[in-house]
Amino acid sequence: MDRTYHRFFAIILTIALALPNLARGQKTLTPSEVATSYQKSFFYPGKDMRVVVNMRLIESGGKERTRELTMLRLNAESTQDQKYFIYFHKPADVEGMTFMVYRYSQKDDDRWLYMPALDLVKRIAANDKRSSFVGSDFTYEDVSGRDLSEDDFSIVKEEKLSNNDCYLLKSVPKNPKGAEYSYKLSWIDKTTFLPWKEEFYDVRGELYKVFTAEEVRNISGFPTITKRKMENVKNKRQTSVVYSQIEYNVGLKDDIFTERYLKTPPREYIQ
Amino acid sequence: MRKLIVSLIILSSFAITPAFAQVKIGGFLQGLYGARLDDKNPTATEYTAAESRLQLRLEHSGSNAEFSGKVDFFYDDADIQTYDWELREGFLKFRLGNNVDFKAGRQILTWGTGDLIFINDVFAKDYRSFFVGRDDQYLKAPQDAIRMEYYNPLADLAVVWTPRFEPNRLPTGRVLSYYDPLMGEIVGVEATGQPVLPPAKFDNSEIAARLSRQIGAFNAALYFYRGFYKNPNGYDLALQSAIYPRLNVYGASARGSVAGGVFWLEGGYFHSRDDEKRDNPFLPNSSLTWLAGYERQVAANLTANLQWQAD
Repeated sequence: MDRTYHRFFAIILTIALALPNLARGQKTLTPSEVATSYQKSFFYPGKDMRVVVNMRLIESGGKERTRELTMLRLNAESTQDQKYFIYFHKPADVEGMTFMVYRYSQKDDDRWLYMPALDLVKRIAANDKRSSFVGSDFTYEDVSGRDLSEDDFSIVKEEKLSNNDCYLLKSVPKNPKGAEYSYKLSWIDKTTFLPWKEEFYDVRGELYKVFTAEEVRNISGFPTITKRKMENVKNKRQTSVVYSQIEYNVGLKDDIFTERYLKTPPREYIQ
Repeated sequence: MRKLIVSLIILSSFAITPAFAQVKIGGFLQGLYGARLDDKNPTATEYTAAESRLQLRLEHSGSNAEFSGKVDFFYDDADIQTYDWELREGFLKFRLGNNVDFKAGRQILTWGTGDLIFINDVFAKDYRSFFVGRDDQYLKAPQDAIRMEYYNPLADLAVVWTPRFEPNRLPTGRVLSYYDPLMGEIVGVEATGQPVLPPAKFDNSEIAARLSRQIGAFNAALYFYRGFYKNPNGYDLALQSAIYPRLNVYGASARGSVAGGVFWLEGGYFHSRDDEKRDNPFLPNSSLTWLAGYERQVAANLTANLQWQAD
């Protein structure tokens, strides 16, 4: 059932990408079709991906901390599951630490952290996908997405945002306790299906977090947000993220995402 | 506890990447100061620590082999007031074929499931660092060892051979006092001599092995150790000295996700090989020990952890 559903939307997406004019001009997409395409192009581009991530964590007072990491992502072939491998370059006191996430769409993640100074592999409890990702204003969910079945979608309107034609998609969690937000508004580009902006509203209906895509580039055929920002409007913190050295379909093997490589990072992908 | 200790760590890290590829140089400068608030201590100093430490790190990584070296230079102002240095790490890591990884040289070793509770992890710990409050990376003492890891679909095997026995680093009485069961009191500078290490010979080397595999949501492991108790908890009447009695450990562990958290269970049988007949009061008896732990996120960015240990 689930697989049929995915295949169905994969076909829809193929049509949407192959015939953009037809998809845009003649056929109106349903909210869940927009959500599916958004999910696919935002969180799942390529079979796998390698990227160097630079983060600036800016406190309300202007104090700045930085993170630099290499991230490897591998999508499962037939499900929405993903595996992530993260190697920390900076700051110096965490350099060489590695972090691995098995992201499951239907259950809690599995997460491991390796601290080379202690030769310690630690399993990390991961029942809350709303936790901060490496201390930033992005949560795990903001990095790897939510399962499509967890939200109800509606298209509020279609409008231009800085000259880009967008769908304004509203996502409302089916289980209010299962999400950080009570609803989310996403301005999704009609061509790339990447979000230009996302607004997160809390239980009181107040805006607390804003995502902005600042630069989108085409990397081997995949439109990719190369500069992004997450701003917490309540505590005035923000995180700016720059992607560099982006590669898709590099041929990552499943065995990289194991304890063996956690202890000895694959140098062909991580310099 | 009537002793109060105030500690302060100042840490500054740096990293330099030279122009030539794949060599990394880094390190840190750290100051650690700690003093007791009362002055009735049997130790040689009222400071728990007053040290400056510079760590230099050099790493070279190729496609099949990696070298890592770490040297600490430090000045101890609390007790001996002199400079010293220590090689913290100096190993070569390389791959042999598709399934075998080697790590040879001075290295930190850790396995097992407990959080600061060790059963099957019979590798050297540094309790001095732990009690004076050094950075986390000093909780373990390095061992000169060869580690071989063999990966295959059935189970992963890791074997560590430590030619020369490496004991735990325990308080000596000079900076940190401790309870001496023979004297029946807390001792400091008047502590009896240092324990005698097992003679350096092949038969006295340490072997530790682990066989592990994933079973469902759990990572299950079997452990074996042949060597010596890491603490000098035996006494040799002829030598008039504390000794490290012979020890074998047989153990098992499992760790995996349960009800949204991580659950772990580990047990080990400590076989006191010098005291088979249980007739020597100066040697430890064989014992069984186990622990269970559970960790779960109770809110975003807040994790609770509970461990239970029993002997």
